[in-house]
Amino acid sequence: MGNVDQEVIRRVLGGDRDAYSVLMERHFATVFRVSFRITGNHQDAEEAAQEAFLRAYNKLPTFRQTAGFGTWVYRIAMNCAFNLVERRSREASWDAAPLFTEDGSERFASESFLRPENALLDREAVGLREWAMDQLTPMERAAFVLRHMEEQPIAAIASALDLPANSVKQAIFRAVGKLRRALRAEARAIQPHRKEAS
Amino acid sequence: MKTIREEDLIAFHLGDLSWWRKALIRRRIEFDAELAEESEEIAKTLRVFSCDHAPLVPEVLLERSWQRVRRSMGVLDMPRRSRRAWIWATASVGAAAVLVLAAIITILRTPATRSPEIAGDSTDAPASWSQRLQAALHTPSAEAYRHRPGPLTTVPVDAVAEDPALALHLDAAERVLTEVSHTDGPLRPETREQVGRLLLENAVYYQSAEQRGDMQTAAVIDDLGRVLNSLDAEPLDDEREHHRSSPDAFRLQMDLGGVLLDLRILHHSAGPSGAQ
Repeated sequence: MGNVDQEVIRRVLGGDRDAYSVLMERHFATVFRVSFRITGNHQDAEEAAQEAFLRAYNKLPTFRQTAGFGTWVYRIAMNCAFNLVERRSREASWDAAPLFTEDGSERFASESFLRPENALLDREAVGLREWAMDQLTPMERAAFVLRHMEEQPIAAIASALDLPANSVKQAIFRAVGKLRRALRAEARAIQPHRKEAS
Repeated sequence: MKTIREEDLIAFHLGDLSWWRKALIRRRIEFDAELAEESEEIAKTLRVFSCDHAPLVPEVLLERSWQRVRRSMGVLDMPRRSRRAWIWATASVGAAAVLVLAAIITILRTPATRSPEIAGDSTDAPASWSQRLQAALHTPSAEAYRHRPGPLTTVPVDAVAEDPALALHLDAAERVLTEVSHTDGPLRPETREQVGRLLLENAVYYQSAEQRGDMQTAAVIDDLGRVLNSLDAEPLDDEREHHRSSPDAFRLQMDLGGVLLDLRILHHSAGPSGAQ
């Protein structure tokens, strides 16, 4: 597999730009998956994945091939997705909607959650997860997703996000703590409704 | 006993603890119901997010992404060496060139490696030129006297070669001794006067050679001094008959011959220096 990548890279560096589609085809799914998990929505994940591949292409002449292209572009994608989420977070902060409405009911911080396809999904599963994840800061979300879902080592996450390893660890601890409390609160809120329904 | 915090439990469930810390927490969980409950809640939380499905990538998404990336792809520059690499390469080549140049210059300037034609060049260093010339002069003439004491050696006598006054002194002494050795009868007054003057000068040159540490030249001058002393102390006409057959006179003749030989050798050495 590595040899295929190397051969394609050689062709791309030789001027055959279309050969790059082979690399995208081979690694796009992984890159899109990590981008999606960090950004939390398809649109941003697509944008982050494309940016990662474009950045990898531009840096291809300096790629030393000590690691595989897949690993390399994956790490670039982690960084792109994290930066995108942070950017979105800053943009949203200008007119950020409050987490709780005036009448005390909760509202979703993420606009992505209001998309029609998500509204159709079961709130007790995917919706609940999405909502809980929206309680996290971009850094907490990225660190948690990469450590727990993507099973990346702390050092790799720290390197990709350009953060100290200790900050990444603390972000993960905060994220799990927040998710735990959010799920507990949500479970308590859902429990009476179920009892009423039954 | 150390308190187990939430962070420790999270690290425990994420597998970020050392094996002994993990074993410690596991043991505490077994005996502490409250801790076990908290641990279970964290585990549940993590399980909720473990079952997150990986998004599917439809063909159309891949094609759309490729087209977008393709549009933004410029012409890549060929892999270039970094600026630092260029600096190192240039510095290395420069250093190598300097070393090669230095080696060539050293080889060209080393007398041993020069051809005889080059060695005879007038631009040669004076010291090496005179040394080689003295060696060439000494080799045939001094070889026969190699086992004699004193300066009978092929080693160039630098002190004589570089001191014209000393060369003149030795030259004068040689002339006087040659004259004395080829004449019979009492010393002429002017010769005796010249011997006295040479004796005084000789003491100065002896001291000077000794201070320089040039013991070979000093030995010749010392020998010369003894002969000059003997000549200076030679009896006058009325006493001459009495001393003719004495052992001292015979020894003086022997010394004179030996010193004359030494002086000639030194004179040969001093010759080229006069030319310089």
